[in-house]
Amino acid sequence: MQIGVVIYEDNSDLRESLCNLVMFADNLLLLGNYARADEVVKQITGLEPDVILMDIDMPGINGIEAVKKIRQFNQQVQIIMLTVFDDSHHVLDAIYAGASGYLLKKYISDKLVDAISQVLQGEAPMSPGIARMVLQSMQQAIQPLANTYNLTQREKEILNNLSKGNSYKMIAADLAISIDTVRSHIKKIYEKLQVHSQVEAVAKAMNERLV
Amino acid sequence: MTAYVKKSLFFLAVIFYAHFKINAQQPDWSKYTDKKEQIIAIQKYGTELIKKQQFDQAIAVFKTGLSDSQQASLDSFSCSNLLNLASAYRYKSNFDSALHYLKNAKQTAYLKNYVILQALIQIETYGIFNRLGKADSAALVISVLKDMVPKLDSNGKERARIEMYLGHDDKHKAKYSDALAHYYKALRTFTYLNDSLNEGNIYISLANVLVYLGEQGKALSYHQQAAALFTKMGRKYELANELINITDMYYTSNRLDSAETSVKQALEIGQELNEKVLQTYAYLHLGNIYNLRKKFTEAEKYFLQSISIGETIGMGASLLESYQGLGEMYMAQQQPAKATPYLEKHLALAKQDEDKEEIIEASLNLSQNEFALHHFDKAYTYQKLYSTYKDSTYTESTGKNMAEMESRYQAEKKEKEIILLKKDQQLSQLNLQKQKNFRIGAIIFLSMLLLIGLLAINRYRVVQRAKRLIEMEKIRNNIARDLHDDIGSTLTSINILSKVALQQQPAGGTMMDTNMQKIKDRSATIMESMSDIIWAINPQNDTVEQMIFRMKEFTAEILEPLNINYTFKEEGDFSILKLDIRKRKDFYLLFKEALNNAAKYSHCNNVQIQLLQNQHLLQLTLTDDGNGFNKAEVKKGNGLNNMYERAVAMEATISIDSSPGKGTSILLSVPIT
Repeated sequence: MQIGVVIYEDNSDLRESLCNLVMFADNLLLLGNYARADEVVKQITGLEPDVILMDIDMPGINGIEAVKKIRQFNQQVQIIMLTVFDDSHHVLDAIYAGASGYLLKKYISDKLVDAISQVLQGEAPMSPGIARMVLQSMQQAIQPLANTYNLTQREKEILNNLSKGNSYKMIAADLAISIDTVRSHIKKIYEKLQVHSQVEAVAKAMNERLV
Repeated sequence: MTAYVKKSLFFLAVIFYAHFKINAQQPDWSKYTDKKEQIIAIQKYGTELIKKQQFDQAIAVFKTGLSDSQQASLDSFSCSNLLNLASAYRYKSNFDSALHYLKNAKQTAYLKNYVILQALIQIETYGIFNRLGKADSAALVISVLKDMVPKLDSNGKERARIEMYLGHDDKHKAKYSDALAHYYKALRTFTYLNDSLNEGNIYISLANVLVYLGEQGKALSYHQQAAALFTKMGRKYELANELINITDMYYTSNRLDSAETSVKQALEIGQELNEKVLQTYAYLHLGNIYNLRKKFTEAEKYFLQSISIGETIGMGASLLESYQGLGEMYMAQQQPAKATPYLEKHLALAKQDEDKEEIIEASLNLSQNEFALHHFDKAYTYQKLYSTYKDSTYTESTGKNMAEMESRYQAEKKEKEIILLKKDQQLSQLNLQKQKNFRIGAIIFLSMLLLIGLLAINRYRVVQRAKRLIEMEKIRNNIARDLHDDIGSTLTSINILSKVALQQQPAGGTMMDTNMQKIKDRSATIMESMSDIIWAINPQNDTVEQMIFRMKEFTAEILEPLNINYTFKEEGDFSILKLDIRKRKDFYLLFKEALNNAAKYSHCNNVQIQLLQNQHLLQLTLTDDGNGFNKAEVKKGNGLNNMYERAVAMEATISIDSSPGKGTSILLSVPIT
């Protein structure tokens, strides 16, 4: 059973290479590739992919907005954001918007296939840079709604550890737990970030309506 | 004859019955062999009856005791029984009888020099005078009591009671803080002796003084404390008294509803105990309350009730108020005819008591009232009376004081004049000095203002410049990132294409494969370098700590896929280190180079990395347990050369130790300014 993939990337060279990569992989099936995400709703509804590769910086509707649109009608499709930097706040915003994970472009050639299967299994890798940003946003939050995502003490610990540059392996060793436990905690954190975004979105919507 | 006998028999029967009835409730005194013990028992019993507020029975008992002690010629007991009788009559508000017995008791006590009894008698006397409002008589007793204080036990009840009365005395003299001091002393002793009744009395006294000092709230709270104590002790009479006091307080602060509640409670108790005094005051306060509420019919009713009871028991103090209250109410209602009798009674009573304040008020009211009735001659007479007394209060007692004060005032005035003259001189001298100083000061001030102004402008400019610089840096950063994005994407595509090409060929050692591999690797390298540059430019990554984070990330990325174990230790406080951007770049790249070597060429299993901050030195130690290399042979190697050059650029020292089979160890020490 092949995995259906749709690509959104505005750099034509990269888009071409991505298509090649997907086509070359046995378990992946390329359903569509686009330079812009303006018609994302129609396209996704029509193609019904399992995984979407979404560039963050695109002209017109950018990757994050596209994710929000998709999530309004489809919560199952896995969305992997493609980004050059992992220290950009855009990545965090994308996760808030509902992205399932992200992949640094420099790792695409080596890790794309693995990332796709990970994400389909519900895993969500997180980098120290992202962890730092999450922590930062927690510290800066002053409104009650944008509170600390309801992270548990353990989760906060792991996030902290991660933000200091430690790998999953090091964190596991440090906290005397297995790497799998670390991964599942990270997954939980992701979910909470996404949920948080939903709550914020609702609140925002309400506010806007009230305004 | 028979009729007379019948009558006398009847009377005898009645007497017998009465005597029997009273005696029937008494315990059997004959069981006491010792007369003294018997009398003591009798007195105890009498005191119990007083506690139970059965005053008539108590009086009978004490009379028995009195006759017994007189028969046995036990003078001290006679004296104390007289005192007890006086006390019992006082409780019954029968003050004349009380004073009568006290007089008798005093004779014996002073004759036989029973000091404690003397004190008790005086205390009792004072209490009665106080209740009757006879301030002057009470004051006389006070002076006697003051002399007695040293003769009495300071923890004793008598001493405490004297302290209380001394407090009363000071209160009358308007020496309020002294009064409070005496009260607190008494309170301490009473609390110590667990004498709740007197404790309550002290609360009342404290409250009264606090009222004079304007502390209404505190006063009310003390009254309430006293009331609570009395309720607990079941002393209804005292409780009712307190309720009246509390009523008074509420009334003064215009809380009429609360006042009415408490006064009605007091009235209830007064009626229950058939206590006329309580009832008088209760009705009086009700009259005042309803008068304030302008409910005149009810007020009139209450005033009249108060007056009728007051007249029955001859309660002067309440009558003064009720006469005045009712009279003034009629006056306000434009009913002068109705007012007259009461105002006249008020004046009469005031004169009888020789109460100047009351006389002044009464005569003023009457003068106004008679004027309203067009009885101008009477009005004039009262007016004269009023002014006489008003002035007399000045001339009589204060006349002497006035002269004294006048002379003292003159003397002080002269003194003050002299001081003022001296001060004047000093002032004019100071003024001259001041003017000079002022001029200098003004100049300095203006120049400072100018300076501040200049500094502020300068600062503003600096801040603006800094802001602009930051803005520019942001823009530069963004440009760099955009560039990287573009370039990075293309590079990635090259990298991907080469990988795909590699995989499309069957695995083999063809030239194409090797070249493809090189393309893949080198494009990856460029992407990595670009990533580093972008990272370094970002001002958020300016700190050494951020650099260490990235070093750790890189370590994990490189070593973990190769299953190389490693430790990464940090020691010291890196937040104080400031590496400029070039040194940081060199340090980081040197680290990467070293780690790359260890990972790719040494075939090691373990790597130890340690970062140490030692004052102004940043030390990096990197050790692996791999193949090592022969330093002599590999000297010209690109990688090693680079490391040495970077170290020089950082003005750092580096030592690379390696020998074949023994692994490699690199130590880098960078001075931080």
